[in-house]
Amino acid sequence: MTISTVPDRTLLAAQDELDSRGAPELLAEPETNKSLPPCSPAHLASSKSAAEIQRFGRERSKQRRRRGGGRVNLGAASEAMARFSPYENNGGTCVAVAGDGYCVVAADTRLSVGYSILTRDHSKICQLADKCILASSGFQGDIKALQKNLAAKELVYEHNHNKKMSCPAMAQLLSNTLYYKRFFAYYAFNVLGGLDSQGKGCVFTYDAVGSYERTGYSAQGTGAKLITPVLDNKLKSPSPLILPARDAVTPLSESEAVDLVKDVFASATERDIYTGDKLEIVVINSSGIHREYIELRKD
Amino acid sequence: MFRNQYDTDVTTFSPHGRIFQMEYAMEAVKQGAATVGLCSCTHAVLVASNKPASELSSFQRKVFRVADHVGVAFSGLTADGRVLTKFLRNECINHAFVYEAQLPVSRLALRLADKAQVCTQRSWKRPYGVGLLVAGLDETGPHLYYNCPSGNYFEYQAFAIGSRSQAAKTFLERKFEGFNKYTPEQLIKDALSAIKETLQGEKLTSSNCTVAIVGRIEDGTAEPFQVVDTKRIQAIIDSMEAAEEAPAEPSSMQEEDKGSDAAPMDI
Repeated sequence: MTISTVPDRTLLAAQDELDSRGAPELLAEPETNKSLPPCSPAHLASSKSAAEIQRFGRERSKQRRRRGGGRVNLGAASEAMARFSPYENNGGTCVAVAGDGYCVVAADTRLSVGYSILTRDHSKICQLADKCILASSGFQGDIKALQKNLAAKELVYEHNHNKKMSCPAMAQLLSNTLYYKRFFAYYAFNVLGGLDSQGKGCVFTYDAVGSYERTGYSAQGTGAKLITPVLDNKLKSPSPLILPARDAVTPLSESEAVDLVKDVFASATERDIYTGDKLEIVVINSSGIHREYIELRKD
Repeated sequence: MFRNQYDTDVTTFSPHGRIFQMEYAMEAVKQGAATVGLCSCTHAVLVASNKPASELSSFQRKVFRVADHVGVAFSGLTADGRVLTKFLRNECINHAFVYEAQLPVSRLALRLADKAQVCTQRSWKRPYGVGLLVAGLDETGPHLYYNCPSGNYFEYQAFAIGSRSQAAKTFLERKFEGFNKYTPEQLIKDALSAIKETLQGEKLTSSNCTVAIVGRIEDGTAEPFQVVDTKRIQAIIDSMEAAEEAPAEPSSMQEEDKGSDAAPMDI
């Protein structure tokens, strides 16, 4: 066991895992060493002792070093030194729910790093076009860059086509933009919400490298695992396997959907340390865009 | 202009220190359909006359939005103009991306001028055959610039380019001193009158001109660059004509658009 001056190695190793989960699909490649257990923090926390976690952490960093994957190799000295990671998880949760004629996009406003709060008032939501809103959680630096990139591309589209981008078009653009950085991904977990060209609500959910799907609702970020089961229960969307193919849009009314989102965030705030402070809810419907703020627990 | 032995390429000076290819490029601007730009202390207006290539075709678009705060209208080889518009749009987007601020109009005009200059000093290139009127609003107010194929650019209170633009210029020279105090409506009216001068008797309607305006309205917010709706233009033209038809007092020199005062000079 290495002697370390850092107080709590267990927690740091778990945090390390959370970081490495940042670009999950990146590290869990087809060429994965099958002998390594799945790197899930929950799995780790429940079944391993501190010593095992440390050893696991060291093995993973060796694995990472061998594979490279956009990380800086510091050489022999890196064994004892903390490795520079280009990523950081600033936490937070984003949720979107689509209805017939409206779309609700919500995100908390807390920005954190490790166990500290950087600010309680940071918006994760960005309006890309009149009927298209992007909410992202993850590494704020990458998110900002991604949003700027998309806004610039949208402007180019507007100049070339004389109209603003539709939500499905933006969805594809976002996917392409993310995949463009396949080998040094944007650490951003995105949810795109808006109205499609027929005026129906649409939600698109993404992973870090651009794989996306149109769904009726979605949650991304640190609180997603707490929220998604509740949304599934309330907004049970028909399985895509059932024929005839049915609409992936919720039967709830707009105010019911907003209330659901508020409830779901309140619950996530209770258990997820990265979610809280304030909830920003943006509703898009045929009459435009409406924004409201709800207070959440600040602890 | 007549052909001579110094006009084969743009990298040849004449004994009198002229580069003929550059001057021929400026001729191309003079052959294009007329375009007029005016500036007050709150707004800038661009008007282009729409001349279809034939009766069967539609007219060439000559007024383009470059960014929310700036737009261009051009005369000459419109294809060159389109390409330059794409360049200008890119410059604005890149500047906004890096500095989170709008590109000031003077700097935009400078970038355009530098790009034009490059083409006057390469043996494998030709100058852009288009003159651009760049109208925009920035922190220092509204501006109007004219960019030449030669790479020169000047700021103007009002200017006209293209065929029969001399008539419009004469009209503007008489009126320009009052422009700073104009309201946007008055500015558009005078711009339309200037364009009317270049039409040589043809009737001015909302379908043979395109008007665009950008500026800062009274409450301080910026009105983004946009092409004015044809209905509004037709209404303005109608009101101008109604004022003209009102009993014309030969004694008083009316401010109204009596267009036929100065005989349009054709140069």
